[in-house]
Amino acid sequence: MKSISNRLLSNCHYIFFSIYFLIGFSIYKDYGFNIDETFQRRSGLYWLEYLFNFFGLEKLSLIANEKLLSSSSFTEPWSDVYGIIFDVPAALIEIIFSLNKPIQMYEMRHFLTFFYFYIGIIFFYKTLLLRFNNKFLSLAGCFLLIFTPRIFGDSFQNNKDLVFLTFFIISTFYIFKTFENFNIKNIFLLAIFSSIATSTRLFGLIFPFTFIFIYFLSILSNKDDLKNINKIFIFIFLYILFLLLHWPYLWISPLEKLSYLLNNLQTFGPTLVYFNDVFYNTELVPFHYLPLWIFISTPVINLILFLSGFFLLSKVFILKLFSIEKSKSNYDFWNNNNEKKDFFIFITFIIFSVIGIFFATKHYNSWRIFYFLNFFFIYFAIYFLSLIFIVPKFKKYINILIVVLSITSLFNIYKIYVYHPYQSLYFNELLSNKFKNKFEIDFTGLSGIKFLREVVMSDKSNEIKIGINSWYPLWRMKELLPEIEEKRVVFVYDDIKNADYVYSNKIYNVNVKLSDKFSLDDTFTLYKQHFVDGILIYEVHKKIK
Amino acid sequence: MKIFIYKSLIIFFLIIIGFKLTFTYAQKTIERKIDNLGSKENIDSVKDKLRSQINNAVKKEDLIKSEDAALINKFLEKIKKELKEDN
Repeated sequence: MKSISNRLLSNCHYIFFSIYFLIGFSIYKDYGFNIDETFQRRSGLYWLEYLFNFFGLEKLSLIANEKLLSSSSFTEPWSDVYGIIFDVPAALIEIIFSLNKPIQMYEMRHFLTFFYFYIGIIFFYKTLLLRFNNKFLSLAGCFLLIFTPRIFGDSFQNNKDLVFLTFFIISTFYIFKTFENFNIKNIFLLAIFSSIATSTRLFGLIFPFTFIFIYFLSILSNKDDLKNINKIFIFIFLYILFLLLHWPYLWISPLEKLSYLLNNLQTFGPTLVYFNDVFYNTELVPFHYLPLWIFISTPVINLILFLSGFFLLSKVFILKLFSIEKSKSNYDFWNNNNEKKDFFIFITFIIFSVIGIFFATKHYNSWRIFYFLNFFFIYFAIYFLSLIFIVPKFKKYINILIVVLSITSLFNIYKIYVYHPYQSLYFNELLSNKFKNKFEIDFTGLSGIKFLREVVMSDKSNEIKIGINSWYPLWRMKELLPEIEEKRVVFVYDDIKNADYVYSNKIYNVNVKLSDKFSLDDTFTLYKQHFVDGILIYEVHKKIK
Repeated sequence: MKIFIYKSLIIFFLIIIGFKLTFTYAQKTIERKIDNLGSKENIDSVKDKLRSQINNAVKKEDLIKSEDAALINKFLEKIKKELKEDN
């Protein structure tokens, strides 16, 4: 009996990852469709056709081109600047498996997004194991990250920010491996994954910079490290090489294109954001935009553990800073590889926080662009838990802590159940329902397909005229309905007065407090409002006959 | 030397934060006000208010009080007279 339980304990990570995979596999079809997905699909097909042409695969290029042309009606506007690490494999799968119905294409993309994130979580486990050398703490970290509701929901449909989070985690793993063993193999892998992270989101540029910065600090403390400078040059060379190799956007005039991208970040995304009951120009949001979003949409337990860990780690490094002259250690900020890893995490988090609060050119769509910060929150949380497990004077509190953690984790799971499939729109318990509705909610239009499916189910007319009373291209979702139902749905666009139903996800491109652009006349009556946990996801008005 | 580098880095960092919290904060606040003032929605809203005020005024039986009307009349006559004298 004892040997069975020991076996179970030693294989608990396999059990954990198998259960997680089964959960993901059984629910990935439940999720709504993100408006960016059509955009990203076209990007994948465009670059796939380009690559087939480049390598002289004419027949395949024709197939990709055919798909690309068929996608043009519901995938505009789009841009060719995006990295290809998700979109091109997705486009390739679409061709290999002859996925011709839009619903199949998008469900495949949802599964692929989940699969990428699943790989990311395995690397997260390995990263935490490499640092804390404790299987249970590493699994606890994975558990906290997976069951962060906004991450859980986005891991099935956000194929930009969650894909970036995945490569961010993998790159951090190889940075840690490189700290442990400064050999060519680790440098090679670090260069590959950090370049992929960079093409997915430019935030990936942090890896070469912090890696070199930390090397610079190690030379300042210990001149012997100068012997490794050739490896640093190899890393820089490989990083640039892989960046150019896997990002076709940079194949012609790379410097000009990279500089164009860096100087035109503000051109992406909407121009108006609803934040704390005020409409802001997305380039002029207040400095508290990112901290407030994090504070209101991260589970309370994650916040408490993160702040405790961050406080303790900050204390360690500030004390080190003030005792540099007295220090007898080889290095000023770390005594061993684990402290070096903590220092990397600490510095990177500070840099990203400063960028996010003070230097971001634009903020919109809640804080999804900065969702990768959840990696840091959980790392600091596990750092705090590791101290409690290690420091003898805290050991008496372990049982209490385990009970508290279990209850709060169960509460997170309950919230995920309540929000399903809208976990991406989660707000924590610190907010009243009234306050939750003072922020933009369904900014990616996840609810659109639910509305269309419901309306074709309840209304059996030959023609259902639908109007849209918000800034959202609902017509892109029409193709996702069964063919018979699709034919019955007619969008009335500007002629909203003739609509039978008017849908709104309450996302606007004008300040509706001053403008009447989205006001309806009294020939319409409120037909339905869909609330989840007190937040209004969408509403439907119906024409009075 | 290394202490000098560490101090420089920290001071540089603090200066950037200080600059952002003071100058950029003020600049952003002003830019936001200008942006709001010049926005299409705000201009339309001012136009709408103006229209509604004019409408209200038109609906009233007497737009101006009789003593005000007499005063304005006298004032206009005076201006007319002076303009004629100048010519």
